[in-house]
Amino acid sequence: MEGLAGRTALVTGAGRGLGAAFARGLAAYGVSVGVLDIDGDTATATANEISDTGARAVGLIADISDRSAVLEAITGCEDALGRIDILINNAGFGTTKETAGLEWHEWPEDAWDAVIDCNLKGAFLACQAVAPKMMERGWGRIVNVSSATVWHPLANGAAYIASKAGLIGLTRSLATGVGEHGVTVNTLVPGLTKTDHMADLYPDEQFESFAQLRAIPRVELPADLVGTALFLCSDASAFVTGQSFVVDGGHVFD
Amino acid sequence: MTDPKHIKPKAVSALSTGELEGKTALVTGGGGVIGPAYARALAESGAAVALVDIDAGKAQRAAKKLCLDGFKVQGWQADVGVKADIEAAVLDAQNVLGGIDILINNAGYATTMDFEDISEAEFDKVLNANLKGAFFVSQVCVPHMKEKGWGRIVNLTSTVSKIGPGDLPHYVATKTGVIGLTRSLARALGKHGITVNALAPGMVATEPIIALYPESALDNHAARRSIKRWEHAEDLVGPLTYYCSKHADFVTGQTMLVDGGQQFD
Repeated sequence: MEGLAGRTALVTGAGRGLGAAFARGLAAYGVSVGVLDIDGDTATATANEISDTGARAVGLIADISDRSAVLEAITGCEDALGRIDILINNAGFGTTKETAGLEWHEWPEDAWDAVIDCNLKGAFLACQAVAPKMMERGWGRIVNVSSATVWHPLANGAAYIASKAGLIGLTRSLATGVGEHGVTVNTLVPGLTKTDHMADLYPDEQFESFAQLRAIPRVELPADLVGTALFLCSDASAFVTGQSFVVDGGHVFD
Repeated sequence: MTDPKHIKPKAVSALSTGELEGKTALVTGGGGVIGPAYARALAESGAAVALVDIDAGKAQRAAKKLCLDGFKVQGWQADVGVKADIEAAVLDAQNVLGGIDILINNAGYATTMDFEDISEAEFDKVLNANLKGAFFVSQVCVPHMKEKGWGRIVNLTSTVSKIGPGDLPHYVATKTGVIGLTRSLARALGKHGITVNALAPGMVATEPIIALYPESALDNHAARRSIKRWEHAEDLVGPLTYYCSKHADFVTGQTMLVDGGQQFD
């Protein structure tokens, strides 16, 4: 797809799961990739795996909710790969073992803050750090990864769903601010996707029951999301900005 | 120097080289301004393309132009609002080019009118072109797609379904109906390997639009966008081809607004 080869991307939460799939997918189209994760070992492993295919990649460690750590990782990415043309804000989580099973009204304040800080504030900080240079160069792509749970919410996912809905607002707001400078900002909305991490959290029946709600009745896999991410990072989507792209086999419609 | 808001972009396809080799596409409204741009992009990736238009001459001329560039394209006349017309054209197209694997329901008709002045005949004309047409052309093309276990349908709606302008209520109603049709067909056809999605352009600077509205209307839309320029047919080629490509295999029932970031839902 035009506009990808020769670019450089930073993908957050890319050590494993969806983020790693995005990083591999971009690399396969000739994009150099900064693989950022809070878990430095997974970031390095994914970056090495990509480098072994002949593409350029660098592993980066940062807690995305920590501004100075984000800035340091971005500097690291620019030092290794030259610049950042594409940002995929994918890092995120919904619960920890402390909050698993809690009703929303039982959630401690610090647990709410941790989810919002990672999923929403983290995306904002990364945008703030990379978008001005994209605007100066006159080309950039930002993709924020939201969730179809915004359309089919669960009460004990309050913080997660609020953060993922917040990303849609962030996308729209930033799109209007950067559109005149060749930068687009869009939201990718996955359905329940069977990553290794999600397969550890949920039984197979959970994935199967979601499959039955879809027009295309099968389990969603990370590879299903890569094509739309590539489109949103390419020149084919140059006049599309501020929009949400649901990729869930036809479960929720926006 | 060209006013920056009038700069025409390049059409960028999301399809890979040869991705549609051996497939046949049908584009309704194929003799207009935007239809041939879609046809060209689909043909560039290897598809044979049937252009269907209510105006036989326009369909033939658009097809001839694409043939001269080396593509396998042929024109047919049909009023998409008349089922017998559609059946005849699709049957003939299938005999010549092969069963339709990709359908672009692009034909449309609009008039700007006061609500109280819209006659029943005018309402029916708009409804038949925009909604009934998409329904029955799909109905005629789907059996082949089901048989193949693969198909792509892209319906053209419009951001008017979100904005709701007051000067074309019949058009707005039919274009909003197209979104409902898209969702319903997506659920009905997903298990057969067929995806159905909708594309919603903003106000595109084509001759029919320029005939309906003053240039200042196009400028006003440009000013309200995140990307502050006129919208052109070329802007729609990337999104249209994305829906037809392998990149959107798990995407169905969705509506994509392609308007440079003017409307957001």
